[in-house]
Amino acid sequence: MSWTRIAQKEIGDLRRNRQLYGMGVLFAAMFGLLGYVHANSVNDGFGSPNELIMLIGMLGMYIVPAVALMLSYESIVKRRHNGQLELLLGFPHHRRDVVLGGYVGRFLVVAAVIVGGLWVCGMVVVLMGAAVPGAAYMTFLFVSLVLALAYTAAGIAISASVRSPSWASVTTFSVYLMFVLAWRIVPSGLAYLLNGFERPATSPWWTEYVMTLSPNLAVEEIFVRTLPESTAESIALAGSGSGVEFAVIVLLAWIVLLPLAGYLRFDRTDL
Amino acid sequence: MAAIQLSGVTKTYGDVAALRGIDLTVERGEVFGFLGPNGAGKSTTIDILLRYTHPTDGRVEVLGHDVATDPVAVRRETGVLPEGFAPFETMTGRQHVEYAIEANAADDDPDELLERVDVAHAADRLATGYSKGMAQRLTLATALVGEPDLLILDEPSTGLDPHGVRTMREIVREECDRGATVFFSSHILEQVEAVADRVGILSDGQLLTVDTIDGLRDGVGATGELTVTLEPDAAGPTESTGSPGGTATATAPGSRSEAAGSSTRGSDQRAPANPSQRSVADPVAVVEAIDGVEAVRRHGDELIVTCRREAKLGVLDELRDAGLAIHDFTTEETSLEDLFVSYTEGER
Repeated sequence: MSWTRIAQKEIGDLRRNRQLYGMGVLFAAMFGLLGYVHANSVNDGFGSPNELIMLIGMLGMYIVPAVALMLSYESIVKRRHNGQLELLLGFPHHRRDVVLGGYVGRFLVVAAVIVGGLWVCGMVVVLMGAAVPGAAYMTFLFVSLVLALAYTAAGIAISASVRSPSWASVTTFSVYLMFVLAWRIVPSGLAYLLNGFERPATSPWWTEYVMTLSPNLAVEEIFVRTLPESTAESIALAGSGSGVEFAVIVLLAWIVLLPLAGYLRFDRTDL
Repeated sequence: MAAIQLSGVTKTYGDVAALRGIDLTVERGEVFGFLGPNGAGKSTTIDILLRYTHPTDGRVEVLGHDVATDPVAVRRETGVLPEGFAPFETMTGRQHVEYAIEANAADDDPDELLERVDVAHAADRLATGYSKGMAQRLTLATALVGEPDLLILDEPSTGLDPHGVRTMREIVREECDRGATVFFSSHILEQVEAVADRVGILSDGQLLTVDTIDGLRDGVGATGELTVTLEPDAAGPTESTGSPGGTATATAPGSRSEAAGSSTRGSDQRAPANPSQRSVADPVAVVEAIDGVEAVRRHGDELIVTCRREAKLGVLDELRDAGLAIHDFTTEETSLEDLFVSYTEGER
């Protein structure tokens, strides 16, 4: 199991260059602050426990993809560029091990950072005497990890497919802009285009499926549909409306197919 | 089973052919030097051996494994010192060796290996702070992990100081004595000459020749230069300028040496000129008569003879037999450099 050694090395690298700790502190500070703000307002008599989910959800949907991409997009392309990969592949590793080990190692670091941040947030809230909605909180943790996995997969796929680190940055930034920030308007924009630059009277049937193609919205869909209805109503998340099954398929495609495609391309090209 | 077997390997980048059909067999247990000018395709060939690069066509086997389908088996039995590598940025020298030991499931002692390549003093420093030469030594240490059957070293002496070059050479010898095959590329000829059993010369993507160094020398005809310094009284006055009579200066009969192909024009002026001082024999004429001598030049007391290697001894003997006293002599082999140039410039 040669990839596990590479995964260990990835984790070791991120520890030794302190990125793990840096990200950990950043997440702990941000989520801890949200916990503090929330607990304060609850203690002042405003807000319900569910608002905590709302708050961390708003932050998490933007920062989790950012960190997942940031920690993964360089892992292969940078080493390919600077020559570390020639050294690494001189050892009995397959290129598959490099992709898989990088993927798993980087994801575990992102996951640790997320778990740490949410743990600090929960602790702050509890220590300040407010309640944490347990089930919803755990569900949020779960979907955050799925979201992180999907974007780590994208980062690794980019890292394995392109040759130059600057291309990798450009592509990664575009993915973030597109799928994290802009995707909500893509389906209606597409409908507008296909309707001959006119706003269609009713949304075409496919809009909600296109909407779900972004991991953010797929995850949101799963989150909203699996929460107890009372909680779901009190947080202002709509989901994409495509249904959980389709969202799961989309996420699986991101998590499995993207790294696979990246690996195949990586394996077929010269170092 | 050969250590390395390349059959019909080609590699093209767009319109540019980097390798045009390489057929090469490296036997087990030999030290094989892979020579060629910059851009000849040495690194491309090595990258193909390691599956860093994919050949456009052809078949590559290393230690009996097909490189295309079983790269990990190749890497398990091979120690690699690649060209243009960088050390892992977060690891110390010792951690590199430890990683190599783990990855190869070997049980070497990291300190012993670091000692062997002479970087033990820097073992606990980050390897990114190493000089090029130290990184080269460190990577040689990781390549030696697990007693590999084959060592592939791409320009191993890059960045090494003379001491490092010697260490590298010694290690190559030791590994060969252990039974390992060593395949290394270089454009520095003396280094190849010093360690390689056989040499392959690559130029412009084609393997020009594969032979032993001696074989290569013989192949080019291999003339060498022999410089003989004669005792002054035996050879007559050396420079004609100081001759008192002033009469018989330039062209003394029988001492002409322009018959020699590459002789300089000035040579006949330095012929023995003073008739009063009788020479035992004219050295130029003596030497010219010897089989295998291509050219003779006279330069003062010095006689510069261009001849085949096996004729050198004859030249000395004949001079002595002719009653000329030899003060000193030096001999110079055709340098590998000349060989190399003669092969790669397509003179043959």
